[in-house]
Amino acid sequence: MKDELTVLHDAFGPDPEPPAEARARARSELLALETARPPAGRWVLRVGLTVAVAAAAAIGVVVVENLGTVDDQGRSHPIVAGFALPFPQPASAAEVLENAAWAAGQQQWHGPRPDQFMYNESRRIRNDRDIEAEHPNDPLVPGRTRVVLEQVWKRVDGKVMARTEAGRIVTYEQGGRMVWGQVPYADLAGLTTPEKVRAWDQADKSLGINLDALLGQYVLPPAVQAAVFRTIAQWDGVRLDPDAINLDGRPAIGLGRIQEGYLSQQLLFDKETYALIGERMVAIADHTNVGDDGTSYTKKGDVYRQVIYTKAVIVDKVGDTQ
Amino acid sequence: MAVVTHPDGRSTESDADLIRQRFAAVFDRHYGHIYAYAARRLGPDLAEDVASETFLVAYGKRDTYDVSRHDARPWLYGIASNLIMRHRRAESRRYKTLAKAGSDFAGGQDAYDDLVAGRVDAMEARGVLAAALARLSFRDRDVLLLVAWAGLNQQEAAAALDIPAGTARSRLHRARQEMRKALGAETEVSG
Repeated sequence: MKDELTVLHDAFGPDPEPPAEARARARSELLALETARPPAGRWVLRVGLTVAVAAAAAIGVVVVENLGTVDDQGRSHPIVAGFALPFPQPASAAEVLENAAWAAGQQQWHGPRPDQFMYNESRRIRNDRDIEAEHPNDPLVPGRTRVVLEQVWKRVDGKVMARTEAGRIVTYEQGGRMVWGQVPYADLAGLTTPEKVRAWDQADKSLGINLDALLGQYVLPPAVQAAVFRTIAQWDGVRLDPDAINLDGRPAIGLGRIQEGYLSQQLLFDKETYALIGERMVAIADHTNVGDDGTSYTKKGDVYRQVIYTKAVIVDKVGDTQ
Repeated sequence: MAVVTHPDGRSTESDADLIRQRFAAVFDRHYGHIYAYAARRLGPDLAEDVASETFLVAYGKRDTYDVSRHDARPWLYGIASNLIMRHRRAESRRYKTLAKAGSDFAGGQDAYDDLVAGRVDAMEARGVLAAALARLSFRDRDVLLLVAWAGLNQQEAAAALDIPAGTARSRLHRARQEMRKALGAETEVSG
C-alpha cells in the first residue's frame, strides 16, 4: 500500500537527468569561480625537458612522470611538487571538450581584416641535434632534448607568410615559385557548428589538413574553436587521460586518439582554464615496425612529439606578437 | 577524517571533508540530484539555472558550512529551495499546467484506491497532485517536496530550510493532509 508521499513521488516519474551540456556548463562556471584570481602577471612558460612516461595500456592511459622543466629562457626548474587541484578530474573526454568549448566561447573576438596576420607561437621539444641528425624519426630521448621556439605569421588573405628560421624572421609571398596552401579564412569563420565542421572535415580538401592541426596552426574565432571541440567530442575512441600531465610545470588534461594501435595523439588542455595548450604523441604499447629500410622498436611511453601552444592571436604585421 | 560508506562497500570522503578542499567533488556527487529536484519543481530550463546557481552560492558560503554535518544534501537542497522560491510563480504555473493535462482524472475515494494500488496511470495521478501542489503555501510545499522528491527526512528538511523541527513537522503534516484530501482519502496520517 503506497502512502501519499510515495504516490506523490512516483506520479511525477523518475528523476529527470541533467543534460550533459548543462552539467558541463555548470561545472565550468564553478570551476571559473574556483580558479578566479587576480592576474599574476606574465605567465612564464615552462617546458618539460626530460621525458619519462609510464603507461597503463589496459585503458589507454598515459601518465607523464619525472618531468624536469625549463622556462622559455632555458633555465631549469624542478617539477611542481605536491600541486593539489581544488577539483577532481573530469569524468569523460566529452566533458573536457564541452568545458573547453564553453571556455573558448567566452573569449571576446573581433573578426580580422584581410591584411592582418594570424600569429601562432609554440615551443616544440626536439632531440639534441646530433641525435636528430642520426635518427630523425626516433622518439624524444630523456635528458637529451632542447626547446625550439616556433613562430608563424599567416596573413588572413593568404598572400603572405612569415616564420622564424634560425632566429631570423623570413617572409614569403605567394607567387612565382613560392606557393603554399592555406585554408581560406572565410571558410574557417563559417565553421560555427559541429555539423558544419564535420561536413568540412569530411569534404575533399586539397590541403589535407585535419582538425587537430587547425587548432594549432590557425587563429580560430571562439565560436569555431568551440565547434571544433564539440566535433572532436563526437569522434569515436577519444579517451581522457585521467592523470595530470606535468607538461609545463602545471597540470594538464590529455585527450587522445589511438593511432595504429600503439600511438596516442593527444590534445592537451589547461586544467584550470580548459584552454588548449598543446599536443603530443605518445606510445601506449610496445611496437615493432619492420620496414624495408630497417626495423624500429617503440617502447610503451616513448614520446614522439610534444608541442606547447603559447600564443594564437591576430596581429597587424609580421614581427608583432601581441 | 570522516568516512562515508556506500552501499556497495566503497568508502570515500564525506561531503564535509570535501567542501573546503575539493568543492568540485561535491558538485560531481550532488549536481544530478539538485538538478532533478529543481526540474521536478520548475521544469528543465529553470532547473539548469537553479542547479548551477545552487553550487555557485554554496561555493561562496563554503567557509560557513558546519563540518560536523557530513552530508551536505540538506544544505544544498536548502540553497536550492531558496532559489526556487524566486520562481514560485513559474512553479505554480507549472503545477496548474500539469493539473490541466490530467484533468480527466475523476478523483474520489475509488480513484485513490486505484492510485495506491497502481491502477491509475501516472498522468492522471500527476494532474490531481499537481493541482493540490499549486494550492499549497510555498512554505508547506517546500517541506513536503524536500521529503517526497528530495528524499530528505523530516529533520533534514528542517535543517535545509533552517526552521525548527517542530515547525517542519507541522508543515509536513498539513501538506500531507492536503495531498490525501486531493486524492480523496481523508484518513489521518502520522507526522
